Amino acid sequence: MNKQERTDVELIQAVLAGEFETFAELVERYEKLVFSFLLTRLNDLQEVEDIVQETFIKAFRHLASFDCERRFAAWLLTISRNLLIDSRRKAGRSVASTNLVTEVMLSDSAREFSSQPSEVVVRRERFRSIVAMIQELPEELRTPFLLRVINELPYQEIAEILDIPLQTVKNRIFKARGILRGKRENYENLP
Amino acid sequence: MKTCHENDKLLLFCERGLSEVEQAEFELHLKSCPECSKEVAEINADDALLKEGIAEAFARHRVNNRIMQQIRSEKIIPAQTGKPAQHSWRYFWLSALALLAIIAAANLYTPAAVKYHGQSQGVMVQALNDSAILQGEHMTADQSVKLEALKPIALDGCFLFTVTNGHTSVFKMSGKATVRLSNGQPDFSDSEAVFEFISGAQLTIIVNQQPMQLERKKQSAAAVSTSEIDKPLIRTATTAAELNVIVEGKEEAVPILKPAENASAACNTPQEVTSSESWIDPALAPMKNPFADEPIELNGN
Repeated sequence: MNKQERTDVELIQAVLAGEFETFAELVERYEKLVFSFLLTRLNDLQEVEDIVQETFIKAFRHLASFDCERRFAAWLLTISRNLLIDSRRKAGRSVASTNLVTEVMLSDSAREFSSQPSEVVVRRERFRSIVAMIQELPEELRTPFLLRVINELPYQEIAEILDIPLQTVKNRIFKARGILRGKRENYENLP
Repeated sequence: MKTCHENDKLLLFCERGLSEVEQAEFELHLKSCPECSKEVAEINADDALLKEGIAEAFARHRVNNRIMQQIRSEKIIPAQTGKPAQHSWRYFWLSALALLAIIAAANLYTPAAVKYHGQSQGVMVQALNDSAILQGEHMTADQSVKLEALKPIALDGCFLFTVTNGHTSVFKMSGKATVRLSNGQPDFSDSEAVFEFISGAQLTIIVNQQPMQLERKKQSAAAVSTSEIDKPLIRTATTAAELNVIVEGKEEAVPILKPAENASAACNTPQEVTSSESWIDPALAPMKNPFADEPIELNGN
């Protein structure tokens, strides 16, 4: 079997058997998921990076205790969420208040080099407003919505990762879209 | 303000939540409705921008190399606290096998009389030597029968009775008697026999229409006569009796059981003491592994 076709469990077993470098494949598979999970919860990109790194290091250390009946992605998000809570507790804050993410995220990108300055401004402003709207969504709606839009996961996979019923996933994503629709209308009606 | 009457299908269309027919119908509608068409375009554009923006940020802030670098430089290895749960069946069968072996070994070393204790109700009669006679016929040592209700059985010799009625009591009968079950308890008539309590809960039997309470004797190694019991059973009965005497000594120090108390109270107390001793202190429960089985809960920060 091709290495790239190996399942998560097979990769985990290989790592536990001593092929530590195989863990890089798991990082490759799920780094974006953890990154995007954290991104709309933290505005400090440095902190996002640190927690992503810490999540995978912790997963690596405790890989032997992973229950292979579960989804590896779900386990990673649980670790990530716990680290996020710890981080917030230590820092003594609930949510970062700066908009560093939106400042940094779209700056200096290859696409923007080739765009007109006015287009760049409009695009950044639009992106900033979208992220702001998503950050206002309740957590239980935000996570399935992001998994759907950013990670393009099918409903069933989101249900498995979040350990909630399929219909609940659909309802939450639909509800998130409804809220965002209302916010978009308000945003467009602003003077 | 949305004015199109098809507007309520818009979000379902974006999430492909409509039936195939409805999905196709709405696509046709979009061609003729600028309002819905504009909104669908905005939603798609926002989704694309969000995805693109995060992808750009991710591309510039990846830490995969840092992760592997840290693993290599710090020589981190996975803690060998267990194996992935996929192997759990192997461990389950190994554990089950080990448990069966323990049960089998325990069974081998369990005294013969105690084997009857598995029954929730009933009276077993066991011949203690070859001279024991039941209904005029000699029995072999260790041979046992279940005492059926309303069927008097003539006994002559040395017998062990195991009475199980919620609790188990064992006593020995030496001599002649006719026995039958009366309200679940042995009822001896025409008795010329001697009765000795061996082990278990306090018991009242009927002997020649008179109640006789069988109870543990005070601490005395000679309390149980084993002269007429065959060797394996001699050891069994003596050991059990000695153990009970020791238990009783403890009970006297802490006056839970008194001879004056009725039989039912005396039957219950030893079990209560045993069960309370086996309670697990919740404070000593092992800490939960924070990673093994924690359900993911992403509802709220």
